[in-house]
Amino acid sequence: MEEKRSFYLLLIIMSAVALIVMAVTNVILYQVSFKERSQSLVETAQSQARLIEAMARYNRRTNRIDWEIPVGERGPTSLLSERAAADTISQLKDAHKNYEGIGETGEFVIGGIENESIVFLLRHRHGEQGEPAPIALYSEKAEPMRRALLSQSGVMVGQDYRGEQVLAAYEPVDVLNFGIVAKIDMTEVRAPFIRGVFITWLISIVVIFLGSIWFRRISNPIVEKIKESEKQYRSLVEDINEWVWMTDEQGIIRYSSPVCRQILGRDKESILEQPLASLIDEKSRHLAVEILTGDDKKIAFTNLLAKVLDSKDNLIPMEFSAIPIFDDHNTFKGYRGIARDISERMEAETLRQGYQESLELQVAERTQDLHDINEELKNFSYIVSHDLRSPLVSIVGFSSEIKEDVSLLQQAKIAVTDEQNNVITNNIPESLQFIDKAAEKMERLINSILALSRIGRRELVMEKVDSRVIVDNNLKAVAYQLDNVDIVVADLPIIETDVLALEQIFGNLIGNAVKFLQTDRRGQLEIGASKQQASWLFYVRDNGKGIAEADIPHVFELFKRVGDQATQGEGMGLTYVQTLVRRLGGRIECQSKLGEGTTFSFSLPLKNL
Amino acid sequence: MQFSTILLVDDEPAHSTLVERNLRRVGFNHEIIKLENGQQALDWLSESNNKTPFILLDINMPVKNGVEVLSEIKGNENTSHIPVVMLTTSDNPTEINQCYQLGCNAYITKPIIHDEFKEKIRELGLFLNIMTSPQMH
Repeated sequence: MEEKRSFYLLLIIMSAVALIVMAVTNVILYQVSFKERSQSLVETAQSQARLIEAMARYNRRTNRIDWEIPVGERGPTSLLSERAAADTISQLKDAHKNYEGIGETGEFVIGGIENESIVFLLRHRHGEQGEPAPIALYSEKAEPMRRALLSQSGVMVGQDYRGEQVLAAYEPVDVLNFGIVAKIDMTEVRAPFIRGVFITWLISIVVIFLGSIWFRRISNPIVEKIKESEKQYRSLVEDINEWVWMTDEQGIIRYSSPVCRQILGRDKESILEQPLASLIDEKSRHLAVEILTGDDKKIAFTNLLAKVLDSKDNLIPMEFSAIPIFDDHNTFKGYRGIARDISERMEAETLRQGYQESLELQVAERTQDLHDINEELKNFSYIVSHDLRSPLVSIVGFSSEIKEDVSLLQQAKIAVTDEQNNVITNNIPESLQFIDKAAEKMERLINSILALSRIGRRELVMEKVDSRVIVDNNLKAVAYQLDNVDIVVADLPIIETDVLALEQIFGNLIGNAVKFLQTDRRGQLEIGASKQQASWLFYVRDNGKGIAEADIPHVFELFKRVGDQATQGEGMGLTYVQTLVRRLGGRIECQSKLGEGTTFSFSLPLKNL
Repeated sequence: MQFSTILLVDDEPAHSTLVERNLRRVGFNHEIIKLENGQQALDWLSESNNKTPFILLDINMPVKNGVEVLSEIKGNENTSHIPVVMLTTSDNPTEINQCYQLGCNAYITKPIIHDEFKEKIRELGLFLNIMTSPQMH
């Protein structure tokens, strides 16, 4: 609508300009033409006057009239001079018969004075046949002729004998006391210009009309394009879910995208011309004023958090970002920015925090539970080992007592049967031996449990340890068993760990490897380490008896002795190793193939927490 | 100091018997009174005026354990001079440490291997001899 109106306005202005220019041009042309016309009329009048004078002089000479005597001094007009005048007039009339006049209405008129009237000598184009009727000397009509007869010479616009408005040049004809007027109707003078103006205006209106249609044709696509791009940008600004705003240097909102309706429940019109700070939560309002209008250097800001009052006075948390606007003189002109409703994010954050807290609580609870269980286990193994020892002390003690008693019986020379003797000397001691052996085995098991429970209790001392040295020491300890074994020790790192624990780990693994080597082939023992992302991975590999697949998951279990039971051991070693590795923050695993060999690999962290 | 009596406090009668027999075997002829828990020991002490015993005290006992009894004996002016030797199957270092701090005079773990046990008792006998009477030699 807007640009349609501007288009019509433009059209009107264009037309007005064109018309004014044409009017001015016409006026100038008219003036020039008027002047030319006047000039040519003057020339006509003058040349006619001179011609008539010449004719009159000639006639006078041939009629021997002393034309030299001025008219006033000649007294009453003589017959001669009357005749000469009449001759001249009749010659003029004769000449004038075939004269068609100037243009449509132009003619020249000759008149004289007779009885206080102006009389016209020639037949004229206008009016009835014959000469026009005389006109009173002093009347409104025939003003130019009057001036000519009063011996004036010039050009004027005035009424002719008919009372028509004419452009007339007037000139006196001295010899005959006539006046001559060359004139043309003003209507004829004006007509071409009126017609010209009419035609040019008509043409220009047509041209303007066609031009404007053409203009619209050309400009419409451009306007459409501009409109389209404006629409796009507008939708970019107004359809996104962020409030786009602009303030002036006073912090007054000069633009607001309509999204404020959804976010704040406020119409865009209701917040325009309001200070932005007035929408901000009281607590931050002062700061907002300072930022938007303060004297400090204006800089862009991003993600400033402020609570904004909505139409119901709820506080909506929003994140503001904006850049300052400066004019060409680098004068601060306001801010242009966006604000984002972050209440959902805040809610999610609160929710997340809640989850995190409850999760942390849960983890803490579980950790405590695990800790408690661990403590219980430690105490359990301690108590078990302690309480198991007590009956053992009795069993072994009394078995020993019986042994003493039996030996007393043997020494006493009591008469007994052979069978009784056999009981005293063989059966009872043999039984006691079995009891002792069983008790001893039991004690070893109890001691193992005790030892295991102690690992959990011992304080670890972390220090730099050369694992190579530890491996070498352990190999030395079993050197007497290594005559028939090829040993490969790869590069081993210096790590930070508990030296005793690492010694026991390698001691057990190397001891196991050596213990379970095959006797029918040359042994191979390989020890090495590789660096992983956050740990060292050590391995001890042998080509010994290996472990059956079904047994592998059980190798680390307490008192578990897998495979053939010919070899000595409590089934404690690997449990012990696993406990140590775990305490050092690592893991251990076993890969093995029965009859081919076994690899134990364990990790130790690069850094201890 | 003269001791005529040895208080043997252990809830395990088998252990008391073993200790008693082994004490006798190494030559002790003192009166040996066997009690089964710590409270009995404290009761005995409060009832028998003027009798200064020598106490062998097991730690793991019902009603009142050895550590509590030790603490009461050594905490009481009237009884703090009485020598106490702790007997236990456990060799837990913190427990041992605690007992020494409370003022026990010796600490013996009961070993399972009987020969070791006999050796310990022999040592205990020597200790008791030193503590009791020079005439024993």
